[in-house]
Amino acid sequence: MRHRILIVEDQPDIRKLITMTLEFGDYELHEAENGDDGYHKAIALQPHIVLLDVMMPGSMDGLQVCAKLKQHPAHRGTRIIMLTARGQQTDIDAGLKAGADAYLIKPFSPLELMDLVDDFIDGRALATA
Amino acid sequence: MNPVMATFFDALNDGVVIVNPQGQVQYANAAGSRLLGATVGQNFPDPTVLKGLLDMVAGYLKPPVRIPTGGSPGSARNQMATVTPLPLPNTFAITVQNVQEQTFFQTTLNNLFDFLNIDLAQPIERFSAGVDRLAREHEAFADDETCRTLRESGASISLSLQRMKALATLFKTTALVDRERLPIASMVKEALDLSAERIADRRLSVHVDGLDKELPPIYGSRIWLTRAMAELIDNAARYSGDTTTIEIGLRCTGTHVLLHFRNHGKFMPRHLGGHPVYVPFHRVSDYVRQKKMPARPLVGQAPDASLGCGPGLGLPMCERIVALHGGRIQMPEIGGDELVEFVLEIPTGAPSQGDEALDIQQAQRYARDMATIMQRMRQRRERPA
Repeated sequence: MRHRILIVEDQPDIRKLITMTLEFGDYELHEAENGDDGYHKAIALQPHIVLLDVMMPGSMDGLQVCAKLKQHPAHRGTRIIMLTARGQQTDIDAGLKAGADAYLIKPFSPLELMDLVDDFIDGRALATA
Repeated sequence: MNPVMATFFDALNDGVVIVNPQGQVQYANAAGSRLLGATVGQNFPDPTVLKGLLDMVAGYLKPPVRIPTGGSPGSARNQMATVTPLPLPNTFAITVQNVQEQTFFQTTLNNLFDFLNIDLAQPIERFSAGVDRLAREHEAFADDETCRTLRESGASISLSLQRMKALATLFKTTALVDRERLPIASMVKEALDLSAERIADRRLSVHVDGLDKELPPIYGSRIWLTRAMAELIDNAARYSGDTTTIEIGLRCTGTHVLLHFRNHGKFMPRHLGGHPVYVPFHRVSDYVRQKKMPARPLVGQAPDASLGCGPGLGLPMCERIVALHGGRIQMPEIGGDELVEFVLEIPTGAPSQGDEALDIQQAQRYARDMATIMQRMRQRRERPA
């Protein structure tokens, strides 16, 4: 079984970089370019992990997508990793408050990303798959 | 270098130079050649940075090493170069952030601010104060037409100057379009506080609605947008009828947050121009002054424009601030000559960043980690099942 990962990031370069990094693993990758699209894809795809940028255009940013997903009964087990710009502490605090499981600070380390994703995949029951 | 990677590095604004352990340049992107004067095949031109590299290679310095540039003619001055080993044998990267444009604009702004505050403001304020003193101390002079013209001109120049100073002060604070997540409700309260004195003076009441609603995210500059709100509130207070109410409402459409500022009075006369949004505040105040104030200042009274012209940024600047956040200021038809409304419309969500190049630090981290990731994957493949 391939684990599904949804990448929600508005910057195409960063999105591409994350995709290229995670392609080294055996994951089923999906992309969304804004919060609204990301939320709807998360509902439809039921990913195991969502990588979520904090700042995005549209009516929902990463924090709001995170909070809504964590409130959704089918997504309480979904792991959410927030991507925050320049490690703004307010973003980190807000992300954790919204229910995020972890955060990566931009510029993020692809190695840390891989490790984090691997840890989450190895460490959870994957009952929602 | 791989042509795709070369194109990628050339797209960066920051300088990237790849050298061998002796400091000979193996590759320089376009910005690296321009900012650092690096030429492939030659030694890295900045002797200070070169020495830092050699010391690091010899093990005297721990990577990454940050060294100020500027040791050779033609190289970027007063910037920090970062020297790091790359995950390839005998290969090192020297990078320097391109801050030349930023430094230039910052210096220009500082010079403008000092010019306004010192070179321009002081003689103008001395001139205005001198003419006022003359009028106070010499009655004949106060009645003189020339004196009156001088005082009016002085007051007008002082107000323009205050407006320029307000602008320059704002420019010195933060980027016009920052990317802060904005707490709209507390910004409205902050803007109201800035106008509290005028609201109290005019015995106005303020009715606020919708501040407690859950709003979609708004990103931008807290300082600049709060100032634009304060200008709208101040203007509403300035031109409201005495003891009336200013109404402020906050609501959301799917894509925008709308802030309404409504007063009962002459916030802006409709007949001024076909597109009233572009009427600057001072024209509105000119109108009010013509209608409400005596044609000539009373003897002994300075031509103070406290009721008419304000020292604020003016509507065009406020409109520009909002426009740079992707929004606009509108004045909808709501009926009734005495009821005037401005609507500040700001799009939700962060400004799009799609056209920005990948920043140098991200590229560095990617390059540094990739070799490890690839090695790890290779080991996994080779591991017996």
